[in-house]
Amino acid sequence: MMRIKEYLKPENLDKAYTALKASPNNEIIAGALFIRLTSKEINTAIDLSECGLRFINEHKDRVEVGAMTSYLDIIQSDCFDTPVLKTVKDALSEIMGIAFQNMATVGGTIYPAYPFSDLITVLMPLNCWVKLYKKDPVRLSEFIEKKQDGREILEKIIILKGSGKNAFRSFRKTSQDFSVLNLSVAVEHGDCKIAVGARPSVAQYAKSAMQFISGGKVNESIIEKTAEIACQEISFFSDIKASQQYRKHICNVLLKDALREVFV
Amino acid sequence: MKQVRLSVPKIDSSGLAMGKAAYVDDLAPQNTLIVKILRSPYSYAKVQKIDTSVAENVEGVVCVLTKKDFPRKIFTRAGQGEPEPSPYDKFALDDYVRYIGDEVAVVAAHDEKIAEAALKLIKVEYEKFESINDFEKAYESKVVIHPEEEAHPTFDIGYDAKKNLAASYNMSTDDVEKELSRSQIIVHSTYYTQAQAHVMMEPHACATYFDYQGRLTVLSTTQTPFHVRRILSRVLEYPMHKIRVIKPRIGGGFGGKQAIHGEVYCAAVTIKTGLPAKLVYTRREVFQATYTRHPMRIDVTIGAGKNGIINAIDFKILSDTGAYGEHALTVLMVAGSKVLPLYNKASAVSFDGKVVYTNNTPAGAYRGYGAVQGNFALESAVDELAQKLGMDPVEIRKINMIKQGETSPIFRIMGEGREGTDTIINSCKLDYCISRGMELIRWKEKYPCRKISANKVRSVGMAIAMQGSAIANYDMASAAIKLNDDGFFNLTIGATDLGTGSDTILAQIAADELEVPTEKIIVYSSDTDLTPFDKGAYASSTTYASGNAVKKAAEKIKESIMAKAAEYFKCGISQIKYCEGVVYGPDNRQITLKELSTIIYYSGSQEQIYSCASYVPTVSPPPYMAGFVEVETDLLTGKVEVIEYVAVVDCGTPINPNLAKVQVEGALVQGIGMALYEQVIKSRSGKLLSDSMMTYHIPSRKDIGKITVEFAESYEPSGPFGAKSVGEIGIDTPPAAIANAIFNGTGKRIRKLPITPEDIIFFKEKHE
Amino acid sequence: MIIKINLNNISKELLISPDDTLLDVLRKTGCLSVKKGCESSSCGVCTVLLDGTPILSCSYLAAKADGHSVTTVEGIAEQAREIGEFIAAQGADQCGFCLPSLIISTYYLKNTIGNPTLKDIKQVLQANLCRCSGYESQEAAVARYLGVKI
Repeated sequence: MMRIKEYLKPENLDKAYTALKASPNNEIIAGALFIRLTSKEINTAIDLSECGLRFINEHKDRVEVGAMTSYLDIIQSDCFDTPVLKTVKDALSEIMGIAFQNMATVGGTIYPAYPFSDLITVLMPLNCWVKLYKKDPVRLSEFIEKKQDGREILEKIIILKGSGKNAFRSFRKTSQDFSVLNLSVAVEHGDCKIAVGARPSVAQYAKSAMQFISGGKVNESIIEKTAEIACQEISFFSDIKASQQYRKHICNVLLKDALREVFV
Repeated sequence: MKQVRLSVPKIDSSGLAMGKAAYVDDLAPQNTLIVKILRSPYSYAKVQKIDTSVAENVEGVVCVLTKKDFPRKIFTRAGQGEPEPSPYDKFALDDYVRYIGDEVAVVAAHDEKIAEAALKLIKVEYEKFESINDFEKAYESKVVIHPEEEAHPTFDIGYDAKKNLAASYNMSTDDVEKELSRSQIIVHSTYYTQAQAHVMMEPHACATYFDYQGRLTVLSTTQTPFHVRRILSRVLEYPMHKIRVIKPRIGGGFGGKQAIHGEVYCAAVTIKTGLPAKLVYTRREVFQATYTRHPMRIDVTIGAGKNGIINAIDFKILSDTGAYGEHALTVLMVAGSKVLPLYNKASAVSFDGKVVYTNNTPAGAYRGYGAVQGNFALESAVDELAQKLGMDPVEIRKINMIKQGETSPIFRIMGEGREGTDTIINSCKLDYCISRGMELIRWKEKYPCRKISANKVRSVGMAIAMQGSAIANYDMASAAIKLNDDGFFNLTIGATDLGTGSDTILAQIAADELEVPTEKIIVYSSDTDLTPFDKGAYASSTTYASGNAVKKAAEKIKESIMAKAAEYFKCGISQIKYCEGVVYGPDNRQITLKELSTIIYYSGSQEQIYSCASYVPTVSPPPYMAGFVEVETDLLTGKVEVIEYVAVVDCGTPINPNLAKVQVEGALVQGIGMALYEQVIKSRSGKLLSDSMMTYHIPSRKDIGKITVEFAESYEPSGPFGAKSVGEIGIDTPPAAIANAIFNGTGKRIRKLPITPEDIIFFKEKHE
Repeated sequence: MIIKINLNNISKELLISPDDTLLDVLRKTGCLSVKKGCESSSCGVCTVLLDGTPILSCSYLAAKADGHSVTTVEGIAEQAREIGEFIAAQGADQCGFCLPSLIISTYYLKNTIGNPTLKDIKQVLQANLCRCSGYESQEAAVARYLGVKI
């Protein structure tokens, strides 16, 4: 069980950041959903609840979502009703139940880059950026490639609006389980992005597959070949939930289905 | 006014809905010591050295117990009557640890945080041994799990620890080899069933304290309070008359609370310190260190004629009982005794079973108790036989299954740990169960399958099952009834309500017999001081055995009331009539129960009217059922969804139709979990990987389809108001029915559980 | 540390440790309806309402609840009794351990979805697991309570 010596709820990000930097044993608390599962000893827990990070702000060219925004906030938000963002909303609606969705936060999922995360996978093919406090925004795909050290604060994510279509697929063995595999595709002006996650590792672009299918005409045979290429280049592993073989198989099945949807 | 066959709301309903203090953790005294257990991180090892000095000196730690603090008494944890048919192979704490999770030391501290911190400070040096985690390699392995000379069975159960055999049993009715050689068609298949976890919602808990009389009171989430009292007395060498065990409301059991768990350690702390103590298992501990269903390998051979009549059945079973042998023999035998009699036309039946020790989490009692494993094997094999013969699977069952008025030699030969009892089946509506089930699921329309889209196929499958109602000539249940002034009754029973509603239905039985509304029967149960003996809630005994005891007690007190009325009316008892709570005498005289009881308590012919009765069943009349399932298989992903499950159950008279229906529905969903979703997963070295509800998934309401349960009301003459049991039968059919449906839809015969999407996608035909 | 919460419409000041879960604090405060089932946000029996929306109190730090309102079954006694009667009428209240959490979620469902369907019931209650009842009778009870035809 996690041990916490002191608890702080700073009233703004600056104070939170200062407190975080004050000691390597101080940590940021977001939704704290998995608190019982770790046995860390934390000096000061810094709760971001009052730093004004729970927001969904729509601008002309983008939507910004604060780090403390919950999955439920997104599911209940009108801003996420556009065709592309609805895919994000739908993906989050499938996760566990209302209480869980109410507690899980955008920052709490993206900062540690949880590998089973459906949110990361559905955002990856979009033009999505991660803003750490006092740092320049970084593409989501780049952000999750580096393991974070817990010494920074995720402030918000920025999803640039675009045209085009996207789709998300995931496979779960039971309704209350995490995804055994998830993937998302997006196509805009013929340029296609494909991300595969819960492999069980975190989402990864299928770069060769993306290159193969982007730009040209797309038919069923192209889709099949694209899926084949993706399943060759993406690395899958076995774990308690599924074998490497099965993940590869299901990736192929789901990717073809998703590609058919966006290339209709 | 009849109280039986009425869906009376449970007597504890509003209290539990409102969150009233009712469970062990609610009722434990304030400020108890918190007990935590240090558990072995190794599959098989010896504790060479244990240093508790640092832990003991932590502020707030009151005591740390190790092996030296317990009497050297070997016992079995099994919640069974004495002498238990399970080997005595466990010490409270021992030098040897035999699975990851085995107890090593006990800490008691003023709060949970201190206790957990202290656990980490206990220094243990282990000598590791090679372990056996594959049950197919355990028999006669050079690694012996119970080499200690103290380990022994209480009577011959086919035990041979040197060969890692916790129990074994075999029998044969006739020359099966000869009969098989005459068979025109043979099915020979091997089936594997998995370790399944109970996942009752409330983790195991107990609290112990000395009451004002200096007696050790144990509050426990137990299905067997009387066994717990006896075992505690034995293991801790503490006088039994100084122990009281109380079971309050508990949050489910399903067999998982039919053994002694933390009570030994918690009681030891209270005895040593004089202070109240509480031990609430974490969910991880429930997974790691209570027990699972026995995983089994079952080799089935069925011989039949071309006409489909089965003439021979052979069962060979290998069962994994894990590190300790509780329930080893009895579960093994039920895998035969509550399955083989279904097909009583087979004159030659043989059974050969071995239960092996391994260094895995122990296995123990779990709803179905072997019958569900045996049913999966037999009912899959019968479908395989039907397929080979080109027969409809329903037809083949109809011509082979047992019918009312018939018997099977298996009843006489195989009991539960001992010989059985010759039984004529006096109530069996399997034929109706099948025909009604077919109607409800629309079998004729849907068999075998229909393609509903390019990748999805819907198909149907079925299975029949039986169970038992208590253990004949072995179980004992009793009930006591007290009449109060104002004309209401106290019913005290040893029977254990795990949430099944047995308190309620037993009140209904008494109420019906006494012809009063159920609310006039006040129930108190499962307290070794205040309630008469009952062996506990297992073997589906409560409705049948405890119910009969209650009915007898009610009959007796009715007679006493009538005798008192005769005294009061100054007439002979033959002139007394009792009807609906009113006693009628000669010359149109009458007196209500309320009036009579007030008089006999205060003014005339004063006497406390009280009755006590016991019941030992002489037969164990089986409930029967037919289960039909429609599944939808996605041929691309391998996902199998249950669209609808129909169950028609013959449990005799359902005492409370709602509660009986919910028992079956709950059991069906556990069976669906066993068929498709649930699996205890270990690493090769025996470490439990599925040790939380994030990694072990029971079905949620979105993982099951429509469930339809109906009753085929037969009437069992030996049961209270015609009732048989209903607690376990519901779990038996889903694994086979679903496996059969999957075959009917995909042509893939899967002979292991759970059946996962991977099994469907990567299916390889096994050739015999 | 001291936290101030509005617990079932009563202002309460509670002395807690920073790493206490809301579940443990609520039970210590006498809200025995809130149960501990899995400690891993998987089973739902610890469900309470925080500012009117469900959370899993086993995985929610009590310190986080400072300044917020918490509702347990003890705070909605009348509605709990009524929902409980519908549940009892189906025999769905088996061991009762998941019952208060089911009631909390049903109460939430009633207050947030007008004209719910059976699909809504399954969706909102999906994370309230039950091992005893097989769900069928629970849904029949909740549907009848909400006036949903099934």
